[in-house]
Amino acid sequence: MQGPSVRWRHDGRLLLADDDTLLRFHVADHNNLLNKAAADADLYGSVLAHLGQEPRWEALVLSTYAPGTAEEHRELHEAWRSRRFVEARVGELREHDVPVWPTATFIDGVPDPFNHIHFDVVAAVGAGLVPPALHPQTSGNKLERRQARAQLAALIDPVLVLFSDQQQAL
Amino acid sequence: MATIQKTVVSTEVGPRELAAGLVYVHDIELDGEELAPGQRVEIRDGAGDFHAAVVVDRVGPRWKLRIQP
Repeated sequence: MQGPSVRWRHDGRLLLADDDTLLRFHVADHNNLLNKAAADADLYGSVLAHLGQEPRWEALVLSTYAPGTAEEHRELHEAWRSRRFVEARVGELREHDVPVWPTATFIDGVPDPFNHIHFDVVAAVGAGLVPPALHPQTSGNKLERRQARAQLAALIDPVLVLFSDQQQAL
Repeated sequence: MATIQKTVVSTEVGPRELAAGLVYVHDIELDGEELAPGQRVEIRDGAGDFHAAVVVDRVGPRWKLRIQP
C-alpha cells in the first residue's frame, strides 16, 4: 500500500492504567503540529469504521507512545533523537473525556518499530474538521491559512495543554 | 556569484519514516510551496534537525520523499 496508513491495533500494549503516561516528541513548532494533524486527518477511515463511526469523517489526533519500561523509554528517545518531549497522564486524559486509541501506523506498509506501544490521543472526530483554506484544492492565501490553523488550534490546544513539558535526564 | 537555494520542508521524521526511508508530505504541510519529482529538498524535523531527501512521486494529496542515506 502506497502512502501513510493507520489501523486499529489488536496486539501489543492495549490496556492503560490511569497512572500510565503517554509521550509525544517533536512538539516545539506549534504550526507544524497543527499542519501534521490536519494532514493526517483523512487516514482514520478504517479506525472510525472499527468504532462504528462514519469512515468518511476526519480525526484530529496527537500521535503518542506508552513505554512500559525504562528500556522502552530510552529506546524511544534514541529513535526520535530527542531528549525533549511532552507527557500526559492517562487518568487526566480520561477525566477530560479525551479518547485514546491503540493504533498502528505504516508508511508504504512499513510499520513504526514502536507500533506495539503506539496510541493516538483524539482531539476531535467529525466531518469537515480541516478548514477548506488548508485543503490543496481550495488552498487559501497565507492569511487564510493562518486563520484556518487558528480554527484547528481551538480543537487541538485544549488536549495539548494536558501534556506537560519534560526533558529526559542525562 | 551564484546563489543556491534549497527548498526546506517542515514535517515529522520519526522512527516510522526512518524505518521506511520515506517521508510523505501533504500539501497542507507545504504552506503553498510547490515540489516536483527529482527535486532535492531538505526536511526539517520537529527537533530542528535536517534530512536530505529527493522528491520521488506524487500520491494523492501527498508528495513521496526518499530520505538520502
